[in-house]
Amino acid sequence: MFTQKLDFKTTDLETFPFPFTTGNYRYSNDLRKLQNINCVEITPEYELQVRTKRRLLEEQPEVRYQSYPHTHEMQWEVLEMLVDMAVSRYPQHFEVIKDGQNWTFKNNILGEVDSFIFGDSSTLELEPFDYIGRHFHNDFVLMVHRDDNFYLEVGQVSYAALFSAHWNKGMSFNEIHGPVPFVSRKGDQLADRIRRFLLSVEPGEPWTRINWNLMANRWDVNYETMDVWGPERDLITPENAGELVRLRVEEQKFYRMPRSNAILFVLNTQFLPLEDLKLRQEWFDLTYSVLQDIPKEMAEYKGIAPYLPQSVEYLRREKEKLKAVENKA
Amino acid sequence: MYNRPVLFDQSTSLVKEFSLLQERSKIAVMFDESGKLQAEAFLKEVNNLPTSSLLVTEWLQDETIREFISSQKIGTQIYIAAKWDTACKIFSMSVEEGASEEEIQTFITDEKKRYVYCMKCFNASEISLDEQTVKCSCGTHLEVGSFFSVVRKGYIGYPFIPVVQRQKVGS
Repeated sequence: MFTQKLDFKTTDLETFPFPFTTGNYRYSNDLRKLQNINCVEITPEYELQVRTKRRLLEEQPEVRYQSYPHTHEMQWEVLEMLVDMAVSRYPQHFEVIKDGQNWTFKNNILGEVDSFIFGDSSTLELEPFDYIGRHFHNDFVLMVHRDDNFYLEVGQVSYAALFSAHWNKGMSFNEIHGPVPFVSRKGDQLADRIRRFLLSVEPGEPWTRINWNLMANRWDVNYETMDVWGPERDLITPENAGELVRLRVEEQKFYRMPRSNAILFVLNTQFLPLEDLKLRQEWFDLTYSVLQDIPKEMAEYKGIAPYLPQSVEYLRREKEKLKAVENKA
Repeated sequence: MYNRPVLFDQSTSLVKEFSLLQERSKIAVMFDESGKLQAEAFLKEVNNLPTSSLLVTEWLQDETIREFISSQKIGTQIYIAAKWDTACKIFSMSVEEGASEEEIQTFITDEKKRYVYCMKCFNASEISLDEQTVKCSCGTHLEVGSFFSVVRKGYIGYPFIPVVQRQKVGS
């Protein structure tokens, strides 16, 4: 039985990709070149997140992982990239022994050692993409480049925000983003503008952008569990919003795979309860400013409309409390 | 290919009447008994162009239909006039043989069909054209979304729990 308990949050604020730089937020093509091209990141929550991700994959395999049989060669390419990145950045945590095609991968954090023949999927218990993805807390989606578009052919998704690897399997970039109702200042569809940009991404030069949302006492909100999390959103009040509502930030990284020419989406999702925003006054102020300025259609699209007013009210009360303390002093 | 176009109730291929595209120099018409009038009227209208036609009867083998489609020259505009199920079959075969959605016009002689894909049990089931909510055979209540998947061959069905109205008893 699928269970979900929101049992982690970002504790090292230095690793939290805070999304706002100004007090009002609108959708835009905010892609920028990735500075550190190594996407492997070990946070204090690594073990908790990876174990929870693995549990979700075990409980809902159809929901969390999808692939086409013809993608195995592309999957091995992804495995190689992630293994090399992990070993290069965290040699104390990850090791690899490459004896020709005979590889042994060690994850010292989890105490795991696996040997397999590189390129031979029958030597792994899981598909290569699924196997290596379970060593990192990120979501991974492989979009295959064809006819000036990208098609979702492999996906391992455990932190969905109105997304489903099962439903979106085989869809083009434009189809996946069909429900995105936003247009740029020039009037063209934002999703299509990003697709055109992705066409120009080159191997060795990954790009990044940050997406954000709010979550009401949830790890993720996918289409499959809408009957569960839909009504739960109504339970949020200004009194409990600080603890239960979390700022969900998704750092998206886009890699052009040199051999398959596909684009690998690496998604680093982190959560911060609204009450923890007080740890950084600047973050608190920016978030309060952004949330009280969200247009209705954006709130509806993000699925936060039912509890946005309560969240804003919580932040307003906290701001009032702070002001009162400052006035006293 | 997994994401070939499929015929669904909002397909751009569906037309209320056939039209001749100027850039097409040859046309192929496939029809069943129910679409015979429509097909023959159109063939008469375009009798100055090279045409070929095929009456798709119940006992006609799929291979014959496929051979008819594959023998068409590149750039031929395909016209289908048939009941929904027959039209879907011919449409799919045409796409498999290399025709694009833009190269096919489809005239349906009976009711179009619509399918919802349950996000709980991952099965598609037929629904009427105007249903907004349905109950899946797995017992899940679904709100029918406008998001269509050619891979899942249906509209997304969002699970929801219906609000139960309390009955007032007595006065």
